[in-house]
Amino acid sequence: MSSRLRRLGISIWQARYIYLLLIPGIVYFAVFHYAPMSGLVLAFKKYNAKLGIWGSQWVGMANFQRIFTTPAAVTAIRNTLEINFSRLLFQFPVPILLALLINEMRGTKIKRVYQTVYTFPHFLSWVVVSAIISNFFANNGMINTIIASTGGERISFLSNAALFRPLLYFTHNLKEMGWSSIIYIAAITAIDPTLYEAATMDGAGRLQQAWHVTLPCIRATIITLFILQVGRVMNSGFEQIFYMQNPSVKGVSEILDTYIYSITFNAVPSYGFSTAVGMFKSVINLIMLVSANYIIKLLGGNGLLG
Amino acid sequence: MKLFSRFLAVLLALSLLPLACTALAEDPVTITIWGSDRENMPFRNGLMTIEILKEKLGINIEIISAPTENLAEKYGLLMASGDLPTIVQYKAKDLLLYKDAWQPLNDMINETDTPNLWKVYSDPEIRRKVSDADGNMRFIGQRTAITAGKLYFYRQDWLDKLGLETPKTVEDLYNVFVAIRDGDPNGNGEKDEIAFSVRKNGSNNRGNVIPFVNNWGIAETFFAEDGQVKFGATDPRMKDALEWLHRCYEEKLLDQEYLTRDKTAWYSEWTNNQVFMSYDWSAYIDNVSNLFKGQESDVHIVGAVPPEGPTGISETRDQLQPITVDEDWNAGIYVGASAEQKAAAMKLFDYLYSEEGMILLNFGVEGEHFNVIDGDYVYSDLIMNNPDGLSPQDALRTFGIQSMLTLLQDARYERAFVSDEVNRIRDIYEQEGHIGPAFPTLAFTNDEQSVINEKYTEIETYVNEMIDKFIMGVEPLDHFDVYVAQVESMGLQDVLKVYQDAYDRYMK
Amino acid sequence: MHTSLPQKTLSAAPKRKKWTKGDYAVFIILTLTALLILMPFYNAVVISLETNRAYALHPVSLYPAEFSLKNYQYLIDKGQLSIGFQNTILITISGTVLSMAASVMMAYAFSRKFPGKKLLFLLMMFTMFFSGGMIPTYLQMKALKLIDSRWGIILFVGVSTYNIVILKSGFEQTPVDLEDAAKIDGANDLVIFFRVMLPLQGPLLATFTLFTAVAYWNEWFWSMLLINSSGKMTLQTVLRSIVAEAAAAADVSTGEADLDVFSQGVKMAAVMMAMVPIMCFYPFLQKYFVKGVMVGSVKM
Repeated sequence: MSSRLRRLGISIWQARYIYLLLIPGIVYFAVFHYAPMSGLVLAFKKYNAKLGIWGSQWVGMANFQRIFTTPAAVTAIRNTLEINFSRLLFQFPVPILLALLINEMRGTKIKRVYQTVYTFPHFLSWVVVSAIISNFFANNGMINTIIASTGGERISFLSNAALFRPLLYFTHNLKEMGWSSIIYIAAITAIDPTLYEAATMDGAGRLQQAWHVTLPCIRATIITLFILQVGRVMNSGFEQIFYMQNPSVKGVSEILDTYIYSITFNAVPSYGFSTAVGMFKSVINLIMLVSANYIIKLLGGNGLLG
Repeated sequence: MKLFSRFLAVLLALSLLPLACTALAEDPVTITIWGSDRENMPFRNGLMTIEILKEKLGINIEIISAPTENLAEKYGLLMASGDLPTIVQYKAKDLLLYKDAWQPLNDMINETDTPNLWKVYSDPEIRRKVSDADGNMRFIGQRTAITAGKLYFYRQDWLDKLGLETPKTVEDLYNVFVAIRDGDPNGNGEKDEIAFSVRKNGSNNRGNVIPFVNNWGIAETFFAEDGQVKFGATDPRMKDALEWLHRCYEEKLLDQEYLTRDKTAWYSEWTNNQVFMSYDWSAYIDNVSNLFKGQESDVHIVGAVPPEGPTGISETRDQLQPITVDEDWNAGIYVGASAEQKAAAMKLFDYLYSEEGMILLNFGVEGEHFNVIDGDYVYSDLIMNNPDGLSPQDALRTFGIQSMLTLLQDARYERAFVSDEVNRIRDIYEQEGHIGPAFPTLAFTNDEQSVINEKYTEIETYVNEMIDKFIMGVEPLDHFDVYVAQVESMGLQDVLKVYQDAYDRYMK
Repeated sequence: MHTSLPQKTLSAAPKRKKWTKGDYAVFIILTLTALLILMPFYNAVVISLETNRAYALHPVSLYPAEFSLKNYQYLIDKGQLSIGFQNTILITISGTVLSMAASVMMAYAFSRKFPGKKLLFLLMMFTMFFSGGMIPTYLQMKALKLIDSRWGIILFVGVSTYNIVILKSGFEQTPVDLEDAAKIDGANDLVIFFRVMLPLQGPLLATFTLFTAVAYWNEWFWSMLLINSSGKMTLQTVLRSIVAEAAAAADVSTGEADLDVFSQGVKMAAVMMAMVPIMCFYPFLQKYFVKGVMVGSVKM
């Protein structure tokens, strides 16, 4: 027993400089992430401004029960799930398609230029992108002017509940598809060229090559990213929705993150309740991610949790 | 990469500049005031008026500026932090969400210590407007000098051009709208006129459309009729009003984009000669007229009285009150402040309510910002023809005049800045009874408040969504009864009871 | 997945001389996609460069109908945007330096073996999915006196668990022999870290420095919550208040001719000005960014 302790002591001493390197990081996580977690007790309390977090009265699970009896909260949960699963459908495949197309493109130089165009929006903030998109889709914006000049009726994209979600997916694709495609392009580049040669010998056209060679070869990448995306199903892009949202589309666009924001600031203050909703979201998140991680490991991947 | 590293080096040097700020020296009593601040309406340390107040009252005043853009967030964070300044200036109803945080002022307002405040708050009509459910007064109110805030206005030149008469009732107005749509008054051969267009306004964005329902004798939400509190959104009369609004929307007489039309887009509709009529703050009559300045046109925009509803009611209810409780400048005094700080705060407010304080906050310093000519207060050249090219209002505010601090906007100030047309129509609204009864901002007990939090928040969200759906025809008006039943099932009666109790207390 | 980075060519398709129909189809689709991305931006550029009158008459045109730099002039004169720039540059530089230092040290440590590693790593990963929430985090900031301080943003925003994980796997891929050789020479972990590992991972560090800098540049949420003084506002908060016209919405006094309405031209000019730094650097730095994603993909 004592020799085991001694050995532990020795390996700790040997790693002393490693611990030294860890200090700033540990301090950061302790101060900015773990210390605030104590504030989660608010989820079990009724907040009172005068008494503060610790003095406020305990209410048990009441705040959590309230989540399921509050229609707006239930709507927010439903919207979060609906929007995210739709994102899987309408956003996830787009970079794969783009990667396939870029891969098929001739001319290295022009390809470079195009890739610059596709990827740069990723580095702009949502403040910038949403302002530009709102301008583009506004009633007197470019899209509507084109529609009107071809004799069509102007469409209020930004305030139309039926069109708002498609607009979200479209905007997200515009901003992120180029960036997300890089990873697939990398995977495609690593495919053994002899596979294509063999396919050409067999008389396969380019479409067939893409379908029978490229896609199967990058399947592992696709599956991994897909599962990771499923694991993020409770995070549906707060900033994008927050900037583009307006009252007429609130019903279809209020997600958990924007809901937490509005119950914290815009409605009757109820920090206990908003903390509970946040905690609920975190727990679901954790469950989804641990399961996603487990599935990736089952499929032979490394997993995200090391 | 080389360029980038050089860039990094320069910026690195910059980053070493000190980030800290300087501390303020301690003087006799220091009070801290939290309030909304923005670039052209500053509320900051160093403003001229604040400096004068400090000197005059022998109090050290420290301002905590909160950006107007995110005031709701900042207020939420301030209250969550539980560490409050001496004075917090915000909307009264939001202040009262945290009753425990504010010092009851009943004993502090009296004839000897605060004669100027006493003069205003000894009036029971005013007193009940600022009193809480338990009879305590928890904030000093922001006062306004005039009541006609928002009004209707339209293009008289179009009426003349098409030979239309001034519409009197809502049905007349509907017919005028149709005539405008079909008569091509802008003469471009296209049917692009929008008879009634507004910019989005209010918390639900339809603040400038919904006042039409007032002509059916109801308000959008709560209102009192013969001492009884009613809920406008589910009132049978609302169905009729919505039918009219929906008809206008369906026929493309009402701006199809009223929920998202921002001011810039709205202005450009005006300049494009598309808009006939609108509803907004009175100053917009001037703002819109000014859009056409310098152009050769016969554009003539005039104020209009509200159209009469089926029972002859012609009024707007969404107007200004002598005490404006839903604006940002009501002030609560933190209960945890020291006795000296509380006394100093009262001294400050009493001064601001005095004639001298009012002149300072409305007009500034005599000889510098204004002169008295034949008993009239006239702004100086520094304000009216500002050397830095600022507009008169902006010029005033750089000195902290017309800025914050439970300000009473003086009627003389109000009249000085608007056109004769605005003053004319405002007088008509005020004198000829076009301003409907306002529902008071009620004070609730904690128990009542929690009923509202639990039930009304939900109802409000649902109603907000449904009203727009009815107007836009997404939901047919046949479903109005189903909608009413739904609101009832969400606990409307419980909410109404709470409102009735609070209202009865208020009227007592 | 693949551990070697693709070197030069991105094309795996066999080379052909003449453009086939398929080539043209691909080219056209990709060109249209590029145009789709560029059009909203171009539209914004045009609006920012024309007079308000021209915009009111023709909201959409392919070139500025009446060319004018007045919108930009207005923003520069007004000063708020340049205050935003100053603060954001300050925060970006100091924040990037500090948080990269902490992240790299932590990532390296996690790539070595030491008692307690697994627990500490899990504790770090946990924060990625579980947090105390907005209000408790704000209260912690307040306790640390970081409210209305640029330090709050500098210290809090930049460290990313995800970046640490990827940097860690970068360090893990360095050949063991190098380290062993250094150890035989009597170097301790600190010496190895600074003398051997850091120079070896230069490109990777450059990439993540850039990612971190972009994160600081684009940060909005916490700057909005933490900063109160207008002199300390960051670029994105200033931009947001111009674009959202939040200031005008709060303007409801009676006689008030609210004059701080930002025209569409000014809004678009502000957006352009905020984009410029990224647009200027991006084409030159693109390959570093791309490399970062590739390293990231290695992990999975």
